[in-house]
Amino acid sequence: MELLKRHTGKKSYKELKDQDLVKLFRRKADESAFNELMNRHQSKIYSYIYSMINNPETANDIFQETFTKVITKMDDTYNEQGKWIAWVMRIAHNATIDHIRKQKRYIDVNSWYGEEDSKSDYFDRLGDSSIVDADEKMVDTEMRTSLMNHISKLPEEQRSVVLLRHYYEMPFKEIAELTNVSINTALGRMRYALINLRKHFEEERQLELKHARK
Amino acid sequence: MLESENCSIRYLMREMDPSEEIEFEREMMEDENLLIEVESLRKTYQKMGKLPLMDPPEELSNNVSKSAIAAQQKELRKNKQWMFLLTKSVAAAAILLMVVSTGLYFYNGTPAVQEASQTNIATEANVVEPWVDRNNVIMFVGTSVQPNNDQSLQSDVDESFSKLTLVNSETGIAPSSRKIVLTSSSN
Repeated sequence: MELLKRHTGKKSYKELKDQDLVKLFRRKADESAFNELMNRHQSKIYSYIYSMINNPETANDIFQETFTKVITKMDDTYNEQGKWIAWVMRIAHNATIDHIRKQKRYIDVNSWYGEEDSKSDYFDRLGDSSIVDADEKMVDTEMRTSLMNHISKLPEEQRSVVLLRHYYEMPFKEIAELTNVSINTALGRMRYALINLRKHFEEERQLELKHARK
Repeated sequence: MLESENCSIRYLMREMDPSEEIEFEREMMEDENLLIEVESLRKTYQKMGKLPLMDPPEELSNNVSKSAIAAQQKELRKNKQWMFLLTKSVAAAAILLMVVSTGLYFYNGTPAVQEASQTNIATEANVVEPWVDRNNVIMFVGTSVQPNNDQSLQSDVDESFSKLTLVNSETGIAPSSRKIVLTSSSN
């Protein structure tokens, strides 16, 4: 009872742990508790899906599908002792991989980034705080586009390791559990992913130099 | 994949123990190729920092939130209904039990049944067990005679009756007798 009393103020929701927010949501369908959970994690979950899929509409669908599963499975499969976000990430990861395997093809990222509409749609979602002026914005945009492009070229299993590590700072033990491989395999995938990215950056640099000489 | 090859990743991702880190740094100082590989991987990994963090469209986020709340409220309502039904069932069972117990109590309390039960009590608890003491007085306790003991009791009564003697006084106490005692002494 005292715990609930402490939850009444809006400020206190921010101070609560994920576990407590989940409890409030499950026992009282507490809207503020769920919104706080969403505020904390939705960007990372969405960014992971988006970076894996590279298609805004599909990313939206998978994001919604993930939360539909989260809501329907929470009473059956989520153990309140475990990390809620790790559990949600497992669902998001599985939904994303399922989609990729169903499609059985990789989306041509070049064509997607070539479209002006998609480009603006993509950058509308980025925070403005990091971009100070137009020049910086352009350089930043180019770098991000290039990075996303190279990441999308990575094999799916390497891409998921890189993104799980980047967005969640997930320990390799957890990445290994989530992707059902050994820690050494997960570490190996990360290593190959970085080697491949380095190769792609190098190829891009060579191409730029070639264009500059012309 | 060799475990030693993964050491560079473990080092970069800070997944090594401090002692392992020191050991690996010593190895890098001795092996130039290893140092180049680690630095090259570090540079590439640093570029990953530019990966953008994106928010889902606001509309999507609101929809997810609304549907989550609605689904959870529905679930809670369903649970409440189950609880209500369960409580009702328990209450109904309790009332039924009470009615049956009360019925049984009143059924046992009717005169005919009471009489029957009292007879049972008399036959079981107040069984007469007569006996004859050393003065041939018949004695018994209890309030009624068991039918099986009728004959033996009658014979005891008859025998005791035949031993009765008449008394001289009305009080039934015999006067003290006067007797002369004859002796052979000269006094």
